[in-house]
Amino acid sequence: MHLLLFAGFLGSGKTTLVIPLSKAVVQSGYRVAIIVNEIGEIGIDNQLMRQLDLNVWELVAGCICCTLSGDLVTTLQNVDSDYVPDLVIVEASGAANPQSVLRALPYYRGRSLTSVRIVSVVDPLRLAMLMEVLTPLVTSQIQHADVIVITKTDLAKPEEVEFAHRTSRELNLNARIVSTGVRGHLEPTLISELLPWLN
Amino acid sequence: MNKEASYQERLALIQKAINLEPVDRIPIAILGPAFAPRYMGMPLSEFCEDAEAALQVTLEATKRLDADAINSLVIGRFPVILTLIWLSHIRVPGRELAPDALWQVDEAEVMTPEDYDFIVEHGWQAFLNQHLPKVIDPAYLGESLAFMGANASRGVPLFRENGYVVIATGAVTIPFEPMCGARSMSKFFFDLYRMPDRVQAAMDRALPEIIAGGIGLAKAGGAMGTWVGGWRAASAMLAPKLWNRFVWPYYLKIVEALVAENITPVLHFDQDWTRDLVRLQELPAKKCILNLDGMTDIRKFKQLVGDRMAVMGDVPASLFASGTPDAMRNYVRDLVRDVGPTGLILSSGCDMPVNAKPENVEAFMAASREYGKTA
Repeated sequence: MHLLLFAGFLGSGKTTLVIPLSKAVVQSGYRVAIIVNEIGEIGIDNQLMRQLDLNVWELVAGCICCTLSGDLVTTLQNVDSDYVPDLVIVEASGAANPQSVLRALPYYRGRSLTSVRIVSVVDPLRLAMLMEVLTPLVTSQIQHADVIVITKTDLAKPEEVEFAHRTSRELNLNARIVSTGVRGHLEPTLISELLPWLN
Repeated sequence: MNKEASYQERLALIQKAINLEPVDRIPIAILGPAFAPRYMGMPLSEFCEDAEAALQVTLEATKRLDADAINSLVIGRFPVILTLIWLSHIRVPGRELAPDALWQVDEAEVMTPEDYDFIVEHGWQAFLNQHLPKVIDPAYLGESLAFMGANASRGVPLFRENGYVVIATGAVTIPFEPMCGARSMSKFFFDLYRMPDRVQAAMDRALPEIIAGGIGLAKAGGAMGTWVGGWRAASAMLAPKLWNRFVWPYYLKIVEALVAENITPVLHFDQDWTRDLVRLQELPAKKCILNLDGMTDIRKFKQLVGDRMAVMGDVPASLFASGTPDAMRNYVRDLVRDVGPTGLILSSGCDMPVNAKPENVEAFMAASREYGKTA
């Protein structure tokens, strides 16, 4: 089973990527499960995903912190046994540090994870502000990424996109950095970057 | 040993931990509002609705595990407490959720930027009076508060009669936390960037009332301590410049005010505070307990602050929910070795999660007893 974890602050465009990506994977004949963890506006994105016939599980926040990683592992195991997906996409909450999520994975007891990849979604329209306010969180989200997706390139100014690209590279020397607009379909090259195992 | 003797022995152990004195064995505390009913077979809907039943099931869970203490005792409907902390609507099992589902914090932007000015002009309580009806039914809140008021002082003697210590009753936190909940996380963090002076003015105006309220709640509950909560203000979230301005000065004032009233601050700091652990050196020595959830580097705490502050924790929720008894034993063993024996209260990090496996909880208790012996 492959695991793809999407990290990025609230409103950065995670769901906008997850939906077409999931549909592309389904159309390729694979089973996809989506685990969503939201702090605010619970259920809105999930409703949208379900309307599009995507299989969604929710992580619910009893508190907003400590129980989340335990819930992820339990939910992952339940998804694995109940649905047997080829790919699980985890859309983490905007306040989630990927490291915290990864720390819980050793407790996972389902089928082995063929790959675990972190996708950091970076919003060029707000990155400068986020770096000023949430420096450690945003830094961690970028540093631990395997792929960094700079979104909303069709809305951002060129200098904002350039800042996002430069900042991402400074924080993460090894991740692939790709860009996408907020509208339009997902480019096949982007899908390949996120899911290199997909035919 | 009779119950009162047990209570006195346990109280002494906890006090020695706070005082950083040697102990014969390391005390053990439990926490987990949702764990207790699940462990004892009570639906969460009943736990949330019936505050008396919630109190009794929490006591029964403590007795079954035979811990020395409970970290924090809530008297009242727990989801209401969460609303009062984060000023957010809470979805409750049996009301908006299935009867045995966990409650959910339903955060939304309810507070507006104009409310910062309102707080400056009219004060914190006046703001709460107008805000709370937007996130909780006033009649339900009124009923819940009435129960809390009438029963606040019952918990500590009830647990004492049964031989157990209550470490903390009540909770207080810095203005950052409720404002973050009320504005919604993303809006609030952008407020810190766009209108910092406006936010700070509101925080400064609110703090004295918040402190007075926290002291009142702590005294009403009657435990040795009270929670001083930290969640979204964690170092791992916020830039140092903003943390130094909007977070730490407020904690300092709250702790100093509580200590002046002989109330032990239980710094319930969830998430990762490692970067700023050194600031805890500014707090009064041997007066506080730091309560960590497994995400802060507890060994670094011991190195930097262990000579002036006790620590409670820090077994992570994920270990209770998804680990094994052997992994639990190893975690407790290593914790005692590296952080104990003085100044340590063994506990779950934050809540024992609702899906904690009973065998892991029991392994935690057994390992704590085994590895916690020093004599």
